[in-house]
Amino acid sequence: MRKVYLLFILMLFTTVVVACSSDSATDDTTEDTNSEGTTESAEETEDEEASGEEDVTLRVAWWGGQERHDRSLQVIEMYEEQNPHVTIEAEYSGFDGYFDKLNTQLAAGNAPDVIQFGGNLNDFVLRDVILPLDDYVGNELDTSLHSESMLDSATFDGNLYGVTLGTTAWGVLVNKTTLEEAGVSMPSKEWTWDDFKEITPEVTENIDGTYGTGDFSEDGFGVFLAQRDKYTYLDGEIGFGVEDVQDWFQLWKDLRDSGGAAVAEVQVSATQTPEQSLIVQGDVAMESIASNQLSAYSSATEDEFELYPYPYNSETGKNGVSLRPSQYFAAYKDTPHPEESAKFMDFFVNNVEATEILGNDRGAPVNSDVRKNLIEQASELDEKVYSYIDLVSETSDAPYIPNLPGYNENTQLFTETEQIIYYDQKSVEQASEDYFEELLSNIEKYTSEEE
Amino acid sequence: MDQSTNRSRLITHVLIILIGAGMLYPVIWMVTASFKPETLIFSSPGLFSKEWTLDNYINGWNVVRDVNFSQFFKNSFLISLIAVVANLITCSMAAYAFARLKFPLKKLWFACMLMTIMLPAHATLIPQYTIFHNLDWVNTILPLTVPKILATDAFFIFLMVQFFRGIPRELDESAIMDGCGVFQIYTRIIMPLAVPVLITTAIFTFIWTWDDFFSQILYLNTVDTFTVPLGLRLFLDSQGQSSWGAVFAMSVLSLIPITTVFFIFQRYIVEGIATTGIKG
Repeated sequence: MRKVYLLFILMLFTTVVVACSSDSATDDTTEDTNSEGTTESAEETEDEEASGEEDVTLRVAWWGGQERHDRSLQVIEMYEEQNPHVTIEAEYSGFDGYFDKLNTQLAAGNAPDVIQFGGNLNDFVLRDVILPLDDYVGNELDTSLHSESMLDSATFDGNLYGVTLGTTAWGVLVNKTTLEEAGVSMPSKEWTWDDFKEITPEVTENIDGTYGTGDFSEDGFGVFLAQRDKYTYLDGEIGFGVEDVQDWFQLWKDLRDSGGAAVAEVQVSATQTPEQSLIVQGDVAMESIASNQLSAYSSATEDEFELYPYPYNSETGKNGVSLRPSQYFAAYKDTPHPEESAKFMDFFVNNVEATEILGNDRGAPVNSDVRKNLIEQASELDEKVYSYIDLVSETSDAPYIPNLPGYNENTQLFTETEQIIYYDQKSVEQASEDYFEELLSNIEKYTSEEE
Repeated sequence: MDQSTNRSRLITHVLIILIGAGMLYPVIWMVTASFKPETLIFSSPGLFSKEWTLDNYINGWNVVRDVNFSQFFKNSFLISLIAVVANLITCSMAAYAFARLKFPLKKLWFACMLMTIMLPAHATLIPQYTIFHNLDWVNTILPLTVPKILATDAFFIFLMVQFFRGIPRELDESAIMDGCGVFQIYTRIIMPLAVPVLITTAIFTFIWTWDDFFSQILYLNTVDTFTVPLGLRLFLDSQGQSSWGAVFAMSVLSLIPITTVFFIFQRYIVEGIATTGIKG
């Protein structure tokens, strides 16, 4: 009897506590926007009272590795020297936990003023926590020399929400050391898919345990489409057909059959991290990477790597590679110092000395003048990246295409389809059709959710 | 007869040693990798290397400008120490009250306390953060230490209650005969007899606080307040360049305090858990 009584109380309490906690959570957020408004406006008036326009503390948050921290801190020091009234509180960490923390801070109204985002900027814009920068463009923030496609990538509903910290482009990483060992001469940079199909089996044949190339996967598919003047998804429309999917998967099946591409067992063991990638492990001689990762790949091994554009499509004469943003700086919607935030972002991407320090860590700079200046004094490795980016931005024949809606799910779908074909569970035709069908329903699901 | 038992013993030992080595392999690999040059860590992933270096330790120790790992170790030690001491004192007091004292609605409060164990941390995360933010405690160690002073680790209270219940009441009664009050029973009778469970609490509090990552990254913003787990993450960028050598080197160092504590006190852990009535 007592036990039953105790159990009853326990259950009662669980419901009460759970109900309360969810209640208080919603309460908190609403209360929060109020209290936040008042505390922040209080802060603002305090600031103004204390010093007219001076003495601002800006909180700047980013994630990254050791190298990025060092370089960013140097730039911050420089900025503080030139703007004595600004103190910058740098809040940096590794990638683990970065967005968990940011989400908590946003919910509690305590987010930093300037925040680094990746390709997920659009999600945060949708949640209405990012400051539109249009009022500051032309005043505090100069974007006149930024490449158009990068501005587009941070523009949603006609408003600019972030500055691009670096640009990258897909490229084919070629292991020069392995190719030499295999007695294969390096192809020209204007190679075609036919050259590619010819070279890769040679490598596989001549070196034991090394295959010509790893699968270019979904990233490669995007480039492949651009070479045919098509695209994945833009402005609510899908821009390719099932025959394109089929051609792509058939291309790779042929490459595997000819011995050029890694066999299924090797390919499925591939990981995302540069240090454990197939090319660094010596399993393949070529792989598709983003250009800003070149130094991460190069420094993980003693082999010499070279960055190539994608093989050209000989029919259209296009290589389909376009510039892509790596990370953005964006300002928190309720920042008490929007002008100062914009000014800092401007310094970070446009100041010549600052960008010299930052280098290629977040990708090549968006500002064309700054990039030219960097090429002149870059190290050998960085120069490869910059000139590659320069090559792409000059020859680029493809527009910037943002990620598919429901990115994670669709990437998963693509990988699964690949594996189905690897292991001959379905014919290429069948697998492509199934992929296309499921992709359409995925996209529909995500776009209707957004509305 | 003798020979066959010897042989079976030998076989068991060889098996155990092999399994042990297999389980230790990742740790040993980390230790050797921390002495390899960065470029060789993943390209020649065996245990041996043609070159050995201390660079990873030097580079790792000076993580970023102005701050090095000694600061992280200091912060971690401070937080862990406060947590251990606070938990020992306050949790044992709360447990003593639940185990020995009579007060109104005792069952209810006990149920409440157990409920805090069951409540998922994520449900309370944002309200908690908001409270600390309004108190202006974010970016200090207060959110990580002050709650410990208020006996918020219900698990340890529960553990101790079970242990205290096993101490014979006759000891309390004879202490009362000798003129002890409620508080003196706690300090003179219960505490000295509860050493095993206290040590268990101390070790687990230390290990959990030392290894904690999420609440620390949540409440600590600037690098000078960072702890060891946060410091280790400073090297890692999943999308860019990570300094793996430095991560391994500093991970080796960060394991030293925790393994030392464990090895010194390990026999008490078993004793503490075995005698609390929570038995497998």
